[in-house]
Amino acid sequence: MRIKTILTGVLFAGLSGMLFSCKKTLDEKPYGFYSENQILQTADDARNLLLGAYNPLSNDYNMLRLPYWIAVDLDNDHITGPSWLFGNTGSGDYVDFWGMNNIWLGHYEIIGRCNEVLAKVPPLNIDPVVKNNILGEARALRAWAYFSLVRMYGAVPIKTKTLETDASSSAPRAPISDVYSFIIQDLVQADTLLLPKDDPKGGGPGRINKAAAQTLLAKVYLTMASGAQKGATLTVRGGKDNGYYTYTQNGVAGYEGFNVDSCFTQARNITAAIIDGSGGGGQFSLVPNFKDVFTKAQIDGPEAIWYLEFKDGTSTVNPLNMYYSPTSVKRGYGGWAWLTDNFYNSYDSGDDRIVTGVYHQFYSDISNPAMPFLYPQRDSATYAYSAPVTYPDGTVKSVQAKVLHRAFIKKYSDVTSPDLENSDATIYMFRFADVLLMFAEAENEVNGPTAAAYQALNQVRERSHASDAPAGMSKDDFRSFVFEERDRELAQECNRRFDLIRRGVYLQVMNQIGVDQENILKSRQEKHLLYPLPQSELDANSQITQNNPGW
Amino acid sequence: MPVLWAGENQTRSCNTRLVFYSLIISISMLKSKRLLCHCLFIVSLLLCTGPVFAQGRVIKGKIIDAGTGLPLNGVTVMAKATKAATTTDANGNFQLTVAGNSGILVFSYVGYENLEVPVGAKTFISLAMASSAKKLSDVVVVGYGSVRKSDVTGALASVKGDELMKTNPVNLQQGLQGRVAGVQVLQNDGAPGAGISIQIRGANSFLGGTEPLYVVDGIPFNADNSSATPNSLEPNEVQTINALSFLNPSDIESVEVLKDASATAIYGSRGANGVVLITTKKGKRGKDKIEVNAVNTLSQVTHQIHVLNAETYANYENEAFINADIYAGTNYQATGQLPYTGTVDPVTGIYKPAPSEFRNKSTNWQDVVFRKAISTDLNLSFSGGNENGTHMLSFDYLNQEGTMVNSGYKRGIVRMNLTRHVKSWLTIGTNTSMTRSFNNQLKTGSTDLFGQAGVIRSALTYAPVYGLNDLKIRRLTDPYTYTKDVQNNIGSNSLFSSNYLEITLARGLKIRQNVGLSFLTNQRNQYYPVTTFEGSNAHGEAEVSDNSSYSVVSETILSYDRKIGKHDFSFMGASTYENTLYDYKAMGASNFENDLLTSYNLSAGSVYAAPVNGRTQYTLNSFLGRLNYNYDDKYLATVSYRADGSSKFAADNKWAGFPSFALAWKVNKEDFLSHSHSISDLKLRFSYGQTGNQAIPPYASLSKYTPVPFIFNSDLYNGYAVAQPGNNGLKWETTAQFNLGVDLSIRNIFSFTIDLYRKRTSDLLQNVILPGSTGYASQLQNLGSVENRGVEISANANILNNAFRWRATATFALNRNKILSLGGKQRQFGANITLNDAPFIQQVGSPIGLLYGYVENGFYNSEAEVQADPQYAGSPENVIKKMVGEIRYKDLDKVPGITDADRTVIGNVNPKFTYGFTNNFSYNNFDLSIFIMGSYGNDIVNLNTYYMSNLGFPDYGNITQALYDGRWTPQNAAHAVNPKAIATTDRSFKFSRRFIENGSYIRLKNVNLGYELPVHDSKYVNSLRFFVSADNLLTITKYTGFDPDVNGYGQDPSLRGVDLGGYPVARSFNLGVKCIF
Repeated sequence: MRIKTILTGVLFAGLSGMLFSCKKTLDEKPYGFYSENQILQTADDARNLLLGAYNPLSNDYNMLRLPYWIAVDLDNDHITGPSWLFGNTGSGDYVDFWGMNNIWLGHYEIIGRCNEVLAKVPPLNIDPVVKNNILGEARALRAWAYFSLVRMYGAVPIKTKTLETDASSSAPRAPISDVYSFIIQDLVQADTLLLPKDDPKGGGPGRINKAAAQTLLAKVYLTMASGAQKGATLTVRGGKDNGYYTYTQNGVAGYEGFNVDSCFTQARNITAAIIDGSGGGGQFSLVPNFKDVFTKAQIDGPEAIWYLEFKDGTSTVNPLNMYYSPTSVKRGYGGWAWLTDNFYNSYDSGDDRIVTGVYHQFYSDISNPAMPFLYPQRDSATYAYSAPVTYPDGTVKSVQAKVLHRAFIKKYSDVTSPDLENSDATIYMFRFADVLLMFAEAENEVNGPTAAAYQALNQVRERSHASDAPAGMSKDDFRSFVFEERDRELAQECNRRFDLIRRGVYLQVMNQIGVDQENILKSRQEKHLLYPLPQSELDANSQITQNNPGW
Repeated sequence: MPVLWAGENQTRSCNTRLVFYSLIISISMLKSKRLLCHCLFIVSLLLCTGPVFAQGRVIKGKIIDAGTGLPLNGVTVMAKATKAATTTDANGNFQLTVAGNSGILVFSYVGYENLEVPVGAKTFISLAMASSAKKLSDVVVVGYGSVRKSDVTGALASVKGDELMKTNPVNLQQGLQGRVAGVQVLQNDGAPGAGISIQIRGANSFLGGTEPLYVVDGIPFNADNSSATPNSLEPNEVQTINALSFLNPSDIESVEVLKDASATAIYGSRGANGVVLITTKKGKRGKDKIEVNAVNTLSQVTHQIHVLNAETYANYENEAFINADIYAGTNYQATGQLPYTGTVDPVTGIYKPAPSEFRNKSTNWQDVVFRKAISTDLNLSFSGGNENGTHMLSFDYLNQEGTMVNSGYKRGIVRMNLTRHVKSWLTIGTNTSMTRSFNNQLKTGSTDLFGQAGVIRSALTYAPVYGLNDLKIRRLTDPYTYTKDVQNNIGSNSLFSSNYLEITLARGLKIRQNVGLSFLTNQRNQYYPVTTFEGSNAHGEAEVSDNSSYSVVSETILSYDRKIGKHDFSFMGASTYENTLYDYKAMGASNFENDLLTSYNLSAGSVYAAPVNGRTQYTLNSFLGRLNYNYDDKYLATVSYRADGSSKFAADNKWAGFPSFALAWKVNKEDFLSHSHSISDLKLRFSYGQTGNQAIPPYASLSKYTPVPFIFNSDLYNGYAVAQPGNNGLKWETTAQFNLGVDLSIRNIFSFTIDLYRKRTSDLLQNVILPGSTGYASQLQNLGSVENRGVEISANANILNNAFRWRATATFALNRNKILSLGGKQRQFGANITLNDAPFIQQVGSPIGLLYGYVENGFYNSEAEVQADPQYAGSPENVIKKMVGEIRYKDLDKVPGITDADRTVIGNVNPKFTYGFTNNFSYNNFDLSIFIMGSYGNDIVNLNTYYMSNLGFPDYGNITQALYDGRWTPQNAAHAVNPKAIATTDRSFKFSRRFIENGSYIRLKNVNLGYELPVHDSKYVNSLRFFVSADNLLTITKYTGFDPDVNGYGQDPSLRGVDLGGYPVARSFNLGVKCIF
């Protein structure tokens, strides 16, 4: 019976023992994630919180790693490709593109994380210069996201607090003008907080610096000004015959209240200060050879203002090389977005941007698997190709293949592993050539086609050995020339669609084409000027009851 | 030493008696399964000592059934005073030595009224015993104890092992399908080893937590299929494995399904979805026996879906391209770019055959992937026991071939169940099983739109113009490659051990310690070769992923039973502790030189995916008590309370209490009914209680800062970001349930159980979809409430009870679900089920599982009809032209244009009712059972149709004949059910009834014919039974997919009834033998 007593005692002890230990028992022991009090002490912690805000830009499938440029860059008059890729965003069917929800979320993820930085970094006891730079980066990054949103969706909710401190998850759409005021306010503050590009206390290569915030601000003003500018004419080359078509700018809905002159002047002054270095953001210049601009060697060169880096062997990689460069023989596929013939023919024949800046792929599909041939010259279409084809009855005939000429931009081809799907192509967010062209555009609007305007424009053209812009152009002609030059320089850098829309000619230019050379539908309607808000936002946000018109 | 001598003598005399009585048992077992009774008898016998038998006289007798007049085999005959006992043989005869003339003989037999007969001077007693329906199954297991069935106060249903095994289920849930009213068993699909979900009395949660709690021999077990399924390389693959696969159905003695709150509240925080108590088989006292069961099964898919042959397909493709020219302004025909021309393609130089060249040269991809499958299930068990304890050792081997090539499921289980009475006051026991299973999966149930469609959709849509070894188009993996080249297997090991120690402190007072351990690991090996679409981009893609969970349960239970006069009390109090540690990891590689090494050497790849791993841990700590009170066997009351503490909730909300009570009144025991001949049993039950639900992942209340990468200055830095917004108010989901039940038995022939219930669940745990503008997709919140009301009826009838016996059992369940509140919102939507469609709407006043979408109104038959539609007024010519032959949607909001505001409720995946109907016949040595079950009034979202309906969409491939025949053409406009075929990528459909079908079905689920060989005199075999059975013999349904019993999203209650291209359910024929030695 002694054993019985002992055993019973043990069991009762166990029974009651749990009563006393239960409080601690139920504490959760976290594995694999941080809690807030473990982090947010040091300058590195502050930086890491900021890097968390940058993260969506180049990671996951919300922003520039993938869907962003499929939405923005496949939807313009100068690009084409296979119907499977161009079937939705490339054909105006935004709703059916898987990435649309992701893009909306991606922008607000950045905004939410910037809000987190702006709320949690100020109390930290760290070097105030470093701290200010971090806060400046957060403000400029948040402004970038809002600027991108307002151009894509028009009126959008403005969020300035984190979810934890802002219990109401629903927020109404702020009018376009309010969004722009908010962006300008953020950027003006960022300009004062940020350090120049090479400052040792700054963020370092690939991060937002003072000049980046200024460039963004200039772009904001330029967009406001051109969107508000109605009635000006713009001649754009295109249509089915690559003719010159003159359109009248329609203006952009919601931009009516902006002061065209003062906005252009702001844009002019800011870009002028970046160009001459008086803005305090550092000295910038063009990389001498166009073909070097997008190489790894030059990525942090004198032309780079802000860019996104990727790295092989990490999860931060992108498929830009696969989509935009020709088919890799080893990979066996890829090369899905190329320049339209019309756009290609709008360059001077000796322009580096289509000589050294473009891969010429000749597609001859006779042999299996289909492989591309690359030639150095634009007239390589004369290379004929024939091959034996076996017919079902067993006879073999030599068949002359029709050779397709496709021009692929080289901008994303300097990657470590060109045969992989995903590699480390760098993406410029802002580069100096854009600043020069913005200056030329704004200077022309403010002061007419002055020598300074010509000088900025020709600086870009001369670098690529293109002929100088025709002298003595009218203000309208100069506007049109710069407009076209912007895409010749910035093709497939997420620029053209925004340019077409801010100048109010997107619908006119696209509808002039109708269906393009690859049977891609280019015609658009009024509703295409703004993307539809994701249905999930409408469903979950009680303050938004209406989608954009037509969606 | 006299004591020793006496002991030896006892042992010897026991041994001889053992032999004798074992013989009786073995004979009796030939016809009877009522072993328990015999064992009890043997126990009582063996407890007696020799001298009792020394002096006395022999009484003989014969016992027959009062109703049928047939002899009763196995009736226990016991001398009341001396406890000497025996049982009747096959002819109903018995012989017992009694002391003197005084005394009483007690005759007892399971299912019959006890009889007491004074011995007097009789030497032969002839008796007829009357059956009593109420004692058919005497004891049922309830949480932390058991009660006599007649004393049950709550709503519970009991299924015995042999009933469960009728359909030769491979897992527990299959065996339960259709057997219990109010229990809805939904298989993900028909794949061997695939996940199954059970829902009891409707969905009362939006999250994955509507699965009942499983308790195996007293030890709770979380059957979460998703967390048991290792990470898949393919994120669109939603198929899960069955977390309960370690349980061999043939090892199950009985299953009790607790449905109302009185029964489940004792499980507190996990009782809200009902509790399934599983009791495994134990050895029985008596002669050791060896049992062998073998079942062979031949299975095949019930039917194929009629898709186009190659010639028709080629014509259809040409038509799509010609229509693109006509309606969309392309110029394919003029430039010779139709797909099937009989000419050389001017661009590629490749010869393109004409449609007629495919005549009689079509590949039927369904033939390629489906097969006749043979499965084997072998069971061997050794069991027995004596007064010191029982033992059972069982082995099970299952080799189940899938009806699709290269799919299958193998499983081996070893189980040991031991009990031992160590001291007169101490009993210990263990039920320990080890399981190894290996699941060769095929990718079915894919949510992907294009190439990664999964094998079923590929078998339907892959173009019949290609042969098995043709160069494949890369946009879709062909079904042959899917089955031949893809590696996708999951190996699982599990150890489940439930152990106890029980001390009897005093009469009626016991303390028991349960210790449960479970250790489960699952490892998945996947490889998609370069020949598949999945693997072509990555040049071969491999992943090895695993998970393991380790949980320990400790329960200390104190129980006390006491009867004072007419007052019968029993009290139980316990404290429990549970801790579960879950780990997972995955590593992957791609870009392989060749496909030879598959996933067995990841370093053969040259690109490595970032490793993924994680660990979670949670603890549950509880205190509980229950008091049962029974007055005069007429009035019963049960009160229980459980205090549960869970680590998963916010700091201030970790503890919650769950009370319940139940009252029952045995009306037939009242004087006014006690002599009624028609009503043999009548019990009224009422219960109320609260239960909880904590089926959320750990750490859900905390803001999780996780490392996220960003690259600058050529280096990778890990920044911090909040991956999951915390919620410091997170707490339990609470369900309050009323239940009113009646048990009625008429003349012991008909018996009914009817339950009415209403349960309301508040503080629903849900991943509330946040506006994207918050920067987060969703947040776990307690929001809203939902109600389930319903009726459950089960009825039994002993229709014929003579040599030809006919018993029928029917179950019927009806549940109405209603969302009462969504926390201020009027509606919200479930997750997307296609790229853009989230048709599951949750709105206040409607059930979970409502489908929302657009209403169609025929087609635009001409340009004039398009122009007449206000939304196309003034549209350009090309837009108008393109709309001809397209679906016209109803403009419900009368505002021109078809927008989200034009959606309405278009379907409901909840059945109006479900039912099951079993007939058991027996005649001599034959028995036959026929089981019919069905579901009425539920809708199914058929995503196969969804992916095929966009006729002519490049890369979608083949379509069904029905879609083709119903396509819009100018000639067929009046009879069109589908829009025109057109080769364009920019057409998309709105979600309408087109993709929803009536999922009602009635199914002849099982027919089982058995024959018990008369082996009475055999020295070698005690029992030999053969059976043939057929499963899923006949299904009547309007559903056009493979099978209406499909539920692609498994345990997710918010997305029920979606056919994602599931593995078809098979029709199978079984041949089995059961032999006892």
